[in-house]
Amino acid sequence: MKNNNFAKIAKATIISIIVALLFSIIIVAAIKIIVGNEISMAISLINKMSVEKTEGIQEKLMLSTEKNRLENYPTYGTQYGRIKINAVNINLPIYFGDTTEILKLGVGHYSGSYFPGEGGSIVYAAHNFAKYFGRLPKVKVGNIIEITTDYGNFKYKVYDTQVIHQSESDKLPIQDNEEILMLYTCYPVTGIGHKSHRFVVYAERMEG
Amino acid sequence: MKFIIKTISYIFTFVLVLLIIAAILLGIVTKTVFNKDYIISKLDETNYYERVHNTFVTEVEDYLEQSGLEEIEIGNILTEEQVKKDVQNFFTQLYNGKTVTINKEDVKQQLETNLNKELKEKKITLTSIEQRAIDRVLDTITDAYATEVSYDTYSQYLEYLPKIMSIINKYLPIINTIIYVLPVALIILILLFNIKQFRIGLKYIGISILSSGILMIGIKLFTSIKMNLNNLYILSRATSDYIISIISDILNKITTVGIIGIIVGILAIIIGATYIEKN
Repeated sequence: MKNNNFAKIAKATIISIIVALLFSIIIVAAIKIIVGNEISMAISLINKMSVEKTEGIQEKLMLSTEKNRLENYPTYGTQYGRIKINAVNINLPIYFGDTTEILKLGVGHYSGSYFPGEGGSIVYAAHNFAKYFGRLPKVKVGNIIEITTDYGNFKYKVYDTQVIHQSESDKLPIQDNEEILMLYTCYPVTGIGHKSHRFVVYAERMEG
Repeated sequence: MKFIIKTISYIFTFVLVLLIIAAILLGIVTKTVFNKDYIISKLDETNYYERVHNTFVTEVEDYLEQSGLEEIEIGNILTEEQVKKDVQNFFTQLYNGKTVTINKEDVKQQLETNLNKELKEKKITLTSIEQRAIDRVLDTITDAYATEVSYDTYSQYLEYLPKIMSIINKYLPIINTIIYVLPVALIILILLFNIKQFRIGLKYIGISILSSGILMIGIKLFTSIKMNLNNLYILSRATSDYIISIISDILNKITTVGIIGIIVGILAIIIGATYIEKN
């Protein structure tokens, strides 16, 4: 008798739990139908605003020697390599992009230029503070610049340095015939206030 | 007749699920996001003032370094206490529905006074050219400070916030009253409908609470799986961590309520089921 009672109670409980689950499913389905698209967009937007906190290189980059192009590009705003100029004691992280936020972290890679190894113009910029490109004007013709990435290491030899006006963008030409590395910073590097000139270092690819 | 009562009871039960969820979510949001004291307490918890101050100091250090003023202690020009005062003022104004402003002239004046004090202590004398340049730098520093403390650069996006807070402050008490009264009214209705079999009424209420609990847990699982909330980046790292802390807190509250709902719901169902058995 007691077992029978217990079985009835259990059955009634289970049925009620199933009804509760059913209600939950109906509500979820209704939400999906009514505002499913909006929720997906919101999720997409939130995930786009999420940035991995690790400072290391985000994903393995691969250079296709056949196409002379990277097979996958780093996420905008992430570090993908380092630049070293031993002659002037520069050793800095390189980030993809050159926004104000990025330039606070190190060297910014102008996203309209090519990557090391792709055979085109590479443009890097950094602030003229001592800890960044403050020593760039001390770079001389013949100095070696090393770029290390997880898809390869690249060396460039400085062949020219120039002071240009900020409006002379033609002095930083983007082309894909020859791998030229161009580094620039505001000039002069001392003194405060707005700088209307840029110090540019031009280097050609040696090996990599 | 029994069938009609049962059908209506189930309909009420379903509506009750929606009302319970609405009441819980509104309750949580009222106690957190819409609560100025909670928001300000979270600022302390996430060391927001210290981080904003450090970010500002790092930003300004670089500006002054290249002028040969690297020995100036930026922390002495603008203290963490000042940052705390301005940040709290920002949130207080915001939650009172007032347009948020940082008086840049006052800030610049204070920066200038403190900077001159530092220069005097370090026995640094500026030329007239450097003095003019310093004035331009102070404008830059003031802008940087206003951005760090009140997101001044993003003012075109944030200007609508005080208006929204004004509307919320005006209508929230009314909405809260309605949202809490409706479920209670519906519970009473369900019990009245089943007045001869009180515990069956309890069963229906148990189903509502259980279903609400399941959905609360579902919200937590959904956000954990689908959203990369822990790595959210909004405006600055300090702001992001602060917002992440609030969101985590809200999700934890939702989870707790969900678990309680499931337990209470099942208990209510079992009590209801014991009545069915006896009758």
